[in-house]
Amino acid sequence: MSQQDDELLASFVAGEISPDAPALQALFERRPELRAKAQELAQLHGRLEREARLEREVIAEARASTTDFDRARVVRAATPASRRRAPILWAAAALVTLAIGVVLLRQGERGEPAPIPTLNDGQGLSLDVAGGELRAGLALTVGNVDVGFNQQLKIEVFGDAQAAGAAILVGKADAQHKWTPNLEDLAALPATVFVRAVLVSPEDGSDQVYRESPLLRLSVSR
Amino acid sequence: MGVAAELGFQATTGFGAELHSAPLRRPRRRATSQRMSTDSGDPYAADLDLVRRAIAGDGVATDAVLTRLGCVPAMLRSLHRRFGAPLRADELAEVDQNALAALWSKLPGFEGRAMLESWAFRFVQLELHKALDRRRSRARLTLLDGDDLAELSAREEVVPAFDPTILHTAIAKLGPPTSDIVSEHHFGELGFDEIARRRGESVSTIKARYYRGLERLKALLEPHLRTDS
Repeated sequence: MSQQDDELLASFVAGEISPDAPALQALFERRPELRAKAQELAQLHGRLEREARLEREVIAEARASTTDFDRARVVRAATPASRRRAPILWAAAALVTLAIGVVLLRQGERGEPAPIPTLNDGQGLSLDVAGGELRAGLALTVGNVDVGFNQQLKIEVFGDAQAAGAAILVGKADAQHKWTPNLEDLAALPATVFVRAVLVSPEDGSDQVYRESPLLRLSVSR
Repeated sequence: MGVAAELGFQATTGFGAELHSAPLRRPRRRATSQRMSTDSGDPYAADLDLVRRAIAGDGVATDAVLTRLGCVPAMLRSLHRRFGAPLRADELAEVDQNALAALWSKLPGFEGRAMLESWAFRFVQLELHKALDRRRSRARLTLLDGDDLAELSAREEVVPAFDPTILHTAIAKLGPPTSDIVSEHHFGELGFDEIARRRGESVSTIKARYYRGLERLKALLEPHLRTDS
């Protein structure tokens, strides 16, 4: 078989020419055994294309949905355990959280209501509260989140603006990243609460907070 | 501040130094200044250079590699969803750990035959396949113990056409330049014209090599091909 024949067959296999192309038909008439073989290779070409498309699509989707937690996980896997250090990022995150807490506390002291029910600090989660109050049957929606396979999204309700101590109520968000309180949930709450969403992982035996929303000051409607 | 530095992670004492001790394979083609250009013969020369610099302890390159590979866990989630999300969270977490461990241990062997993310994707794909195979084996054993046949069918996830290890091993077995032509055409999305231009050969020669390569690839894959759905 000549290089010209191979080129023609490659064009057919890759879908560049139609099976009815005169030159191809002439080749198949001259070498009938090539027809079935070329068709099999066209199938193989198709399978390779599907594999390659899958790879491209997965990579593109992954690039678009990579979270900070993913990046930290990759770095952690690349770092020998004996050389892991206390991540500076967590300290920075704690400082930012503290600063936000102080600002919110001062707002609370001045008697100012929470300005908007949806906040997003750019890096953390957003928490959208329809109607701006905590009401039975009304969903709270967490945004800007991609929940990892070993992570949970929770809504924490505190009685004070510093979110000190344990939450008085913790709700688990559903697959749509929503949590809807019921009447029973609200019964034990004070008239004003402070609510935030947290993305946690039960790694290391206790919930490790990876991302969180700012704390929202909400009135409770019963 | 770079990713590595932000996380208290120094190329000279961490990732770079760890990998530096591993033996480096020879690059598949002689390193020249031309190889650095993605528009010249080797489309992945820049990635190979990046990895080699990271392994040598270059902090900027280390950060760049870590940033590029940060999408690996998301790749696993995406691929798992496409296969019908059959694994439990703990099983998927194990796959994630295995894939990342394999990835870092094999990084010194990166030969620049594919884009860095594509190379990483194959580890994710391989580890996921191994986990799915383990799950299928367990399901069959469970069936032997009296499980419900319908339940087993429901658990059968989407099965891809090739075992990824077999596919890429078979392509590599074609040897250069055919293996490169097949990879670049399918996985690098390069047309025959572009491959010919980069290699300084005629389109006719490239196509002939591709066709003959495909013939050999079919013979290598035939025993492993799964039925088309």
